[in-house]
Amino acid sequence: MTAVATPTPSGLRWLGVASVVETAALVVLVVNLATVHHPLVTSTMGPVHGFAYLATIAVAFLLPLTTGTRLLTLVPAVGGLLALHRARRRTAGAGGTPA
Amino acid sequence: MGKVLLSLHVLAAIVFIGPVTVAVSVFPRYARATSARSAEVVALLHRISRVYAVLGLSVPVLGIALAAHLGVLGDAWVVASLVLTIAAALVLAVVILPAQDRLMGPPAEPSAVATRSATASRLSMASGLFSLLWAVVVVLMVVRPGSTTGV
Repeated sequence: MTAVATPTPSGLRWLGVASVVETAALVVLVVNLATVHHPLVTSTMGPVHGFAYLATIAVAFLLPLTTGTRLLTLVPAVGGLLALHRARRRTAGAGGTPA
Repeated sequence: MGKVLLSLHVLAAIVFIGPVTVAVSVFPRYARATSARSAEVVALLHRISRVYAVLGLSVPVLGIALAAHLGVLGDAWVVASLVLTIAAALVLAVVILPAQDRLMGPPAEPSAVATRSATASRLSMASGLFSLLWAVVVVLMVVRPGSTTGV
């Protein structure tokens, strides 16, 4: 572990899935709150959003990312997407080799 | 909705927490071995520990949703279970997974074998603590001291 490690594409894909679900579930929740306010949507998407939020943070801490990128995932709603954007830019900047 | 959440919560606990408990308890034994096969086993066990640990986050999330649905989120047995769950998650994230990381790959030099063995021993102890915490949480979930929901 002497070289600076970059996250593998499959690792970033995990982060991507968790981040998209986190944000999408929250959008569904907010839209539901503003419109029909169906309790079934709330009780289904609430846990989905909660799980995706925690999963995003956990995946970010398991991948070889910088502390700043990891902490970015703590931001509610869009933290995962911000971290993903940052990680991808850094990987590209470092000339990340395909694993 | 309560029955659906309860089913998902129990299913997730069995399917996700079970493999983590087994993988972390078997890991130290294979980390001490030095054959090429044990290195492959160690890599697989580490992968199972990490992936299922993330998936296992769904268990407390579903549990909190269920407790809120039943209106028992403030009950002592729920709060105690949550505290123990957080403790178990911290043991896994802060002690077990980093120690597993250090034990990945072959020992760098013969002098590192003793350090490796010590790390493996500490890892065994942490794994035991992790399993014990889950056992206590399961007992709390079954006995539910002071609960009147009957679900």
